[in-house]
Amino acid sequence: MSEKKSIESVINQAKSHVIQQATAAETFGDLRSKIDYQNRRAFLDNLLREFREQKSGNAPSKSVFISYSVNSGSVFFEKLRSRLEGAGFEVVTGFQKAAGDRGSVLARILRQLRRSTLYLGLLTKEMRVKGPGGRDQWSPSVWTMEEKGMALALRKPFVLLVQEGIHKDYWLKTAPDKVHITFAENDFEDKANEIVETIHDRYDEVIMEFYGQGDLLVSYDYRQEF
Amino acid sequence: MYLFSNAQIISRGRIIIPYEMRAALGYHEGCLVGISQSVNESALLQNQILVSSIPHAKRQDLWNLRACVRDRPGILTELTDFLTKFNLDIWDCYVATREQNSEFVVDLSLDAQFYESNLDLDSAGRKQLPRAWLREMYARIACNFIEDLALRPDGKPNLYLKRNHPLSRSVEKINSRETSEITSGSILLPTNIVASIFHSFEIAYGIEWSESLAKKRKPPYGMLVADPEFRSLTITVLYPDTGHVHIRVEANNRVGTIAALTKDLFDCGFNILQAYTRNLHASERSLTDLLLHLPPSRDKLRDDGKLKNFVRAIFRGSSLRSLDCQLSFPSPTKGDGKPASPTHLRSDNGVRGNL
Repeated sequence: MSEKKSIESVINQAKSHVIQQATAAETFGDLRSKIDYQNRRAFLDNLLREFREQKSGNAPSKSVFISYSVNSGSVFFEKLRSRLEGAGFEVVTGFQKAAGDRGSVLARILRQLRRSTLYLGLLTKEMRVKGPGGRDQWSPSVWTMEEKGMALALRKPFVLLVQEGIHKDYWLKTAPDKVHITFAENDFEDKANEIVETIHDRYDEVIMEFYGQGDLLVSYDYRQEF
Repeated sequence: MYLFSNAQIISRGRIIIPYEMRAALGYHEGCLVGISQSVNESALLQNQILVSSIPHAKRQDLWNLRACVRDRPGILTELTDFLTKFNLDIWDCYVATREQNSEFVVDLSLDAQFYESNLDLDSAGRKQLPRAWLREMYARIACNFIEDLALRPDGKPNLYLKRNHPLSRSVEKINSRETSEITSGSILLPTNIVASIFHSFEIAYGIEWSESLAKKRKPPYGMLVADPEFRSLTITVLYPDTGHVHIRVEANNRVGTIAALTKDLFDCGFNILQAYTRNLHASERSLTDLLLHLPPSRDKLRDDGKLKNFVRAIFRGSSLRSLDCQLSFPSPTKGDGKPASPTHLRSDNGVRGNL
């Protein structure tokens, strides 16, 4: 393929050709042909934009943002991190400094979340709360909830690993359509493996979306015309 | 577009593919076809067979390219030469002019196993990600023929590149795959596949059903649906007394006819497996063929005669009277277009004949 022209130069060449034709049509007062060539140019512009977007590094990286509490979740986080890194994922957290955050924790988290492809919320017991019927239950850390909200707003593919005893309102109520896996301390190892598989599946879906579903191109369904 | 045929008795494992289907699918005398049966554990019956002349080894990265271009001398040579440069193997090619020979429509099957690209995934990657697309190839074709491509009303080129998913799937999750030769317009269904289908019916309908069938000596029959777009033929194999019935309904053609027909059948528990509706008599009447299945949970009678009476009763119901329906039950043919026996020509309300 190396001797073949790059796709961008191929598109640009086709574009300059149709621009010349449109100009010639205008000179001869052929309005119909001019519009026809303008349509072809608009199509090529869209093609070029799509390929530039792909080339400019928008391909999803194999990275997971893990949201967790240092107090109650560090032990679980370390186990998750080693599994995910072993599976080839870059693990990103809100504790990592990012260029340009100017000391703002929120800006740092947002930047790290933006550059991650997937979000994994590790919800562990942080504070005691009253559940239904006055039963003792737990809330996760406030920061975990903040990060979960940001991930939802950024439309990040999303999974939650929830410790048993966490009040349902903290996870099921705000994200009922997402994947949730609950764990207890004695079955964490199994559940961690399960969540890594889920992360793999989510990543495959994202990659499929990227390679298979160009918004503009795939909509050219021949059935509309043939 | 799909092509349908009448039910056909499978005699000694052989089934005739009607001429029209063979022509549409390019099955010539002596042509080898792949026959496969996929596995779907959630389905009640595993009774469908997929037939295609494209070898199993070529199916996983097979693409359909359809384009409509302005006709000019040399356009086909240029297009095929262009594809060759990218190692795209053209498996079959249908082209025709239209609009007083001003437009040229191309329909190609491409094997992309050896296609290499800077941006598209390679063939192994595409096999892992079935939704992956040949984005770069599409763009290159569009650019190379930007002046030739006809535009759709929305101003976009009439160019389409789509994976042949039915054939890709036919090499995954397979129970069995064999090859057979087209001989006198027919193929021999592999005995292991026929046996596996019978076994599937036995599981669904029980040993009593299979014993009763053995006593009656009734052969299986097949219903064929050809899909020329995806170069495939599906044979649905059926056995008597399993709640399956092929009906033909002539009815007044008006808004909501199909909805009315299917609603009453649905209300009585029928599942529609095939349907083919067309207009008759200057659109005043329509003719609909339906292959129906009453699932075992609803079909307590397990008798084709009683099943037909049940269908007749549905059509005598008040809600369908306004459509002035004429109902018939086309009988399975011997594969030569002739009915199995003259007695089978009898029909309710006088509508008769074969497709």
